[in-house]
Amino acid sequence: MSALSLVGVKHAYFGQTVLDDVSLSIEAGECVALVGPSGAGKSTLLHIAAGLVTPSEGRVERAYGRHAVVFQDPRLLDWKTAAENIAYVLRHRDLNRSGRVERIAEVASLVDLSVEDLTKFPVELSGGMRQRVAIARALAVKPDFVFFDEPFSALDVGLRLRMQDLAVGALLERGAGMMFVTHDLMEAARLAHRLVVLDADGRGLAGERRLEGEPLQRDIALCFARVQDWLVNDPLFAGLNDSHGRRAQ
Amino acid sequence: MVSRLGRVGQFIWAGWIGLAALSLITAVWQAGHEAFGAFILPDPATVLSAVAVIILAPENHPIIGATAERAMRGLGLSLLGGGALGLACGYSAAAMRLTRPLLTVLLGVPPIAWIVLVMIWFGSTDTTVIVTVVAAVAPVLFLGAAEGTSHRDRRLDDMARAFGVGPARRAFGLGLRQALTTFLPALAVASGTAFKVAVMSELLTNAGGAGGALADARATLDASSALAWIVIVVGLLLAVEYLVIHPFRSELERWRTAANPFGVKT
Repeated sequence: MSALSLVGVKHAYFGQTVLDDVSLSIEAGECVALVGPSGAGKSTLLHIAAGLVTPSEGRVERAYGRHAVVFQDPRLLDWKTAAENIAYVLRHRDLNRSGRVERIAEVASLVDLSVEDLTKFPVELSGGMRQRVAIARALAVKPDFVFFDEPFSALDVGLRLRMQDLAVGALLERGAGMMFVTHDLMEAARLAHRLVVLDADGRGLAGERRLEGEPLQRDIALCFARVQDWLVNDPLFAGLNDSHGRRAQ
Repeated sequence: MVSRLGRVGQFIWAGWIGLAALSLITAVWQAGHEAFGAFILPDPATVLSAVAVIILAPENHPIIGATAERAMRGLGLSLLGGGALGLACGYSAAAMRLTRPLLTVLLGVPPIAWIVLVMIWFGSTDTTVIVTVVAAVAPVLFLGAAEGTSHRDRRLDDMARAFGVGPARRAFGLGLRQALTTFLPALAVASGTAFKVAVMSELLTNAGGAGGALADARATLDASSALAWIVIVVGLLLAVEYLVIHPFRSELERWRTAANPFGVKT
C-alpha cells in the first residue's frame, strides 16, 4: 500500500471548483513535486493531503506513522524562542527533557542554526533563519512523511540549495515520503522522483513526468537542459511560466 | 535569571519617568492652589499630610480595605465571568455575533443607572457595590478576551494541528496566549474602572469605604480631606496596575522588546 493515497479528491471554494477528481499515490521514500501555475490549487491539494482541509469529495488514505508540514511562511510562535518553537511540537512525543534538548540540538545543527540562534525570538532572526527553524521543527518530530509548501522560496540561492540537500537528503535517508509544492521547475527537477503537474483550470491533474536518476545526485546542467526541453517541447508544461495565474471561469 | 533581574531593574529605573510626571501634576496643583486659595484647592503639602494622617490612623484601615476588597472582588468575578465567556465566544463566530449587540447595550448603560437598580435590589450592602463593579467591568473584560481569541493567528492553529498538537494545548498554548495581547490592556482599563465605580457606588449608596469617607468630607466641606481620599484611591489603583498588571505583561511580552533592546531608539 502507498504511504499516501488521494482518491477522487475534489474541492471547491465558494462554488468555484479548484480541484476536480484528483487521484495520486505517493510511496514511502518517494519525493513527489507538485507544480502548476499560481492559483491552480497546489497548496490546497497539499493542505487536503496533510489533513488541514477537508475535501468536498473523495478521501485521503494515510499509511504512515507521523507527518510534518513546512509551510510557505515559517509559522513560528512569536513569543517563544527558536528552541521553544521546536520543542512545542515535540512535547507530546514520549521524549523526556534531556531527550528533547538533544533532539533540538541535533536538528538545529542540521540546518546550521547555532546554539545562540536557538535562544533568540523569531523577531530577532532573519527571514531565512526563521524558515530554517521551521524546517528544523519538521525534522525534529522524525516524520515518516513531510509536506513542503514552497518551503525554500524565502531563502537565497546558495542557502536554498544547501537546505534542499540537507532536508530532503535527511528525509530520503530515513525513507520518508515527501510531497512538495513548488513553482520552480529546477527545484522540482533536482529534488523529485516524480513531477505532477496540476491543470490550470481546476480540472485536476494534467499529467506527470518521472525523472530518471536519484534526487540530489543529478547533474545541475542536465537538470537545466531537461527543464528547458520541457518548457519548449512538452505540451504538459506549455503556459506554465507565461500564465498570469489561473484564468477566470 | 540574570536577564530577569535586569528587566526588574529596568522596570524600577523607568519609575523615574513616572515620578517626573507626578511632580509635574503636583506643580500644576500648587499653582492652582496659589491662584484659587486653600478653601477651593488646598496645597499638595497639606493634602499629603492629611493622607499620612488618614493612612496612619488604624481606624481608617478597614475603610480603605473595604473599598479595595470590593473593587478586587468585583474585578475577580468579572474575570471569571466576562473573561472566560469572552475566551469561549472568541472561538465561535456565531456566539460573537450574538453577544456583540448585547455588549453595546450593556456598555451603554451608565454605571449610575446600575447603582440605582442594584440599590433597589440589594440595599446599602457590599453586594450592591460589587454588583455595580461587575456590571461596569465584565463587558470590558469580555470584549478584550473575545477580540483577542477571535483575532488570533489561525495559521498557527493549522500548524499545530498539522503536527498533531491536541485541542487543549492549542486552546491554552495558542488561543489564550494570543488573547492576552488585547486582554491585558482591557484588564488595565478594567482595574481602573473597578476602583472608580466602587468609590462612586459607595458614595451614592452610603455603604462605607473610601466613597463613604468622601461623602463625609463633602458634608463637612473639607476639601483637603476629600482630596486626601482621592489620592489614596488613586494610589491603590497605581499599586495594582504597576505591581501586578505591568510586571506580568512585560514578562509575557518579552519577545516584543527583544528586537529593540533597552537604550536603543527605534
